[in-house]
Amino acid sequence: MSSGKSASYDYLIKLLLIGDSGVGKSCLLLRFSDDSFTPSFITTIGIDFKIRTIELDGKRIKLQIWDTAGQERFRTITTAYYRGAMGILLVYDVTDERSFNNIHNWIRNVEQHANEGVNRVLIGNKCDMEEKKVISREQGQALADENGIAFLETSAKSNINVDEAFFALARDIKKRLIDSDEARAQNRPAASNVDISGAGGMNNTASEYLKKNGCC
Amino acid sequence: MQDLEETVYDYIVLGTGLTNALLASALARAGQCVLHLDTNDYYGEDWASFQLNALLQWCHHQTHTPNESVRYYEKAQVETVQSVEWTVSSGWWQDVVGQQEELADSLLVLTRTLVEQLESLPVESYPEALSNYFDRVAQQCSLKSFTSNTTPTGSQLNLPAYPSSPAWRDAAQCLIREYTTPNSPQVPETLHFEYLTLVTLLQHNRDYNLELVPKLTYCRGPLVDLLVSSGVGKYLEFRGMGQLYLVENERIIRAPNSKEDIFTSKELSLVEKRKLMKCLTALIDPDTSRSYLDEHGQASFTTFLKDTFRIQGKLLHAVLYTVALVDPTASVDCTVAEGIERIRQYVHSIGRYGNMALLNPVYGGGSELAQAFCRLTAVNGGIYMLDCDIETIKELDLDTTQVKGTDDTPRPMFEITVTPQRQNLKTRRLIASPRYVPPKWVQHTEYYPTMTRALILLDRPLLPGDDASLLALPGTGPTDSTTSLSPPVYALQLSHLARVVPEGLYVLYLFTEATDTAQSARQLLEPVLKRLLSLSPDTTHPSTVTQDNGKSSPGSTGTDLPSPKPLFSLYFKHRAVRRISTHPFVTDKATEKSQMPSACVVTTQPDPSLFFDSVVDEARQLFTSLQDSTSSEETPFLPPMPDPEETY
Repeated sequence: MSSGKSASYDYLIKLLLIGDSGVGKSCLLLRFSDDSFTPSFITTIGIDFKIRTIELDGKRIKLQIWDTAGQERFRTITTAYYRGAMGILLVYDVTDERSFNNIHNWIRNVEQHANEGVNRVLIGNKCDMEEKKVISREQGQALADENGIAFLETSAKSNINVDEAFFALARDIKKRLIDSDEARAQNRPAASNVDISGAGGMNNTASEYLKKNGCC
Repeated sequence: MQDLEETVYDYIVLGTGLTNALLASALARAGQCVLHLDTNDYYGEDWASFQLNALLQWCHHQTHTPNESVRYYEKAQVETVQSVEWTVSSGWWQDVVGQQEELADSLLVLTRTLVEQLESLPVESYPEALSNYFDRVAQQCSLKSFTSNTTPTGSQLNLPAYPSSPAWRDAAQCLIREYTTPNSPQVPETLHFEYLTLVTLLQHNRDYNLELVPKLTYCRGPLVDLLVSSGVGKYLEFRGMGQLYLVENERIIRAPNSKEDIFTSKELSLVEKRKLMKCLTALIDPDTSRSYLDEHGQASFTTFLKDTFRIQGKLLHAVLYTVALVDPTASVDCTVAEGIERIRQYVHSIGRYGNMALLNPVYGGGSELAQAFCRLTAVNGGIYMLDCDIETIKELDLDTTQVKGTDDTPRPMFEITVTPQRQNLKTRRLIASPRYVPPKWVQHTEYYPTMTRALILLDRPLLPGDDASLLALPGTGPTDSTTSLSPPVYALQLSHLARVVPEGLYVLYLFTEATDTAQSARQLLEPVLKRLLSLSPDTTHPSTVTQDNGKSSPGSTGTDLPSPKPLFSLYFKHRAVRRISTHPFVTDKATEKSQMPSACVVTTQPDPSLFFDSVVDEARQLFTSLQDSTSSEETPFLPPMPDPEETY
């Protein structure tokens, strides 16, 4: 996937958003990628993934961030969604206790289907809504500690900590996958997969193929 | 949140098999409002792939009749899977444990005690007795300093440490379920060895993606073309097929996969090479092949090859089973038209992505493909519900005023009630895979030939190397009494590179037509497996075997290695529906127009072929038939999605 398009970046990192419906996954994504915010509640339609290229320690890193396409609503996320993800943002809504309690289930899903060792960060979104807040920062931090992952409270609406969350995750992934030599070696085998969308390849037609070495 | 019951959907799609997934995505992409349901808690229906524990659960569901609370769909269900049997190796751990006499003895005592116990216990007490037994086996193995890095000879898999790995518990549960059937259990004296094997295999449960009906795709065929043009390919990964093999004179030989292979092959004489080139050149030439088609079109392809090109013996097998890759069926013969098409497809596919014609999807083919199209549906607003019970599917009475549509709300034609919330979902049109069609609608059901299939986990590769390889055993399948044909058995081997098994294991899929219905799937294929494992490996081109990861694999380094051992084997028969014709529907009395027949579309199940590609044509045709004929503009089938990278 990293080949093809003009190499305006040094590394490509695939990230996923996951969490209950309505916690603001798409809002976080749109805030980060387009710096926009839509207040109305619309179940995600039409967002496949978004791109933003960031710079870390002088390297240009292209973040490809995938949204759930609404398939979290009835717990029908495809196992294919998790393939190849290097980092996962687990999102809950600080004003919705259920979304917080469900994080356990999402973590279990990630363990079952994502790559081993995938980097994760726990996000408590909508932290601007202080009157309605039911999950404290301490509760969020405790859950994160329990699972040994980083934690941030964010607001897509007020643009609090959004960049920080994505940058923190990207930095961890860079450390794990790019900075260590061993990691680089591990990362390589996928190269022998066939990139069908890189299309065409050698466009030998059949008759050329049979004629090339002359006739016997 | 939008209420499911308030919407009248343009389409409710029942079943997430590959055809339905394709059709749903094309409809959603064309702006239709789609609700996609499945009664299973997984995607893909018969195209599904499973982690090992889920596969064992699937086996359990197939072999045990469901309890009293029969779901609607089970009453309607077309029974596609029969004769399911699975076994786990006991011999694999026997040697290792045998070296520790004390442990071997105590394990044997435990098992003997269990067998005696079960004879005197009522069935209800089996689970407890078995559960205690497995606990004690696990304890023995850890107490006797049975270290976790002890492995059977040559294996890369270890016995996990007890009790920290959940594999011990998972394996016990699978076996308890299997041995607590209503009939009295036939517990083998080697149960503890089977247990150890299963524990070892389940330790890496997340690395399995085992398919029920494995298939391949052409590099230049309808499926790959569609994946590229629609953009769905970006959700998927593929690998090129490695070598193709034939069994001739009880030897595994490399089949010539490409022109270079034909020239360098040591298996073919100069005369044979010439014949083969002449045949292939003629068949892919548009002019000569057209004249063959006009003259022989529906005749037998085998007879045609013999008569027209004097191709016979192993050369005939090579053309039929490694180039044309004909279906492994005996009740239906391959026609000249089909054979020529297959050969053209194969030859045209070479060179698109390298020196191979075939691809296999990584992470377990059909399921992964179906899920990719389902994601496209979701991205276009389609709603998904899995694991839902369907209580009723009914046609709505057209005369009842309550369901009459107004100008801006289209009139629903079907109502589907799903439990437990008893939601009533309304739709204008219905797309259903065969198992969802209410029996009273069915006029006639037509099946594909029944296939017999096996899935074997091996501790070493049968065919050298870690790339996907395909082997054909000509004339090995059961002979059909009417056609007197004997089909090949195909064997497809995949490794961890295809992300379908843990590193160090190999999966071998065997399939052929089961014409002799009296024999079980296991009776038909177990002898074939035994024969395969006893064959001498190919030694003609040892140096040309390429390794992807630079490590040498056991199969490629020499010939005196022990033969692979089957660790887990699953056998079943699969009878897929080719067509269901439904009763004609009621005519709309108000308008005198009969609009019902097209309101419910029934799709098919996986065919016996080696390829996914036929699904694309089926979905495309159904999509076209569903378009409003009054519209002058043709709605494109799965046009490309806007590229998120370009809109940024």
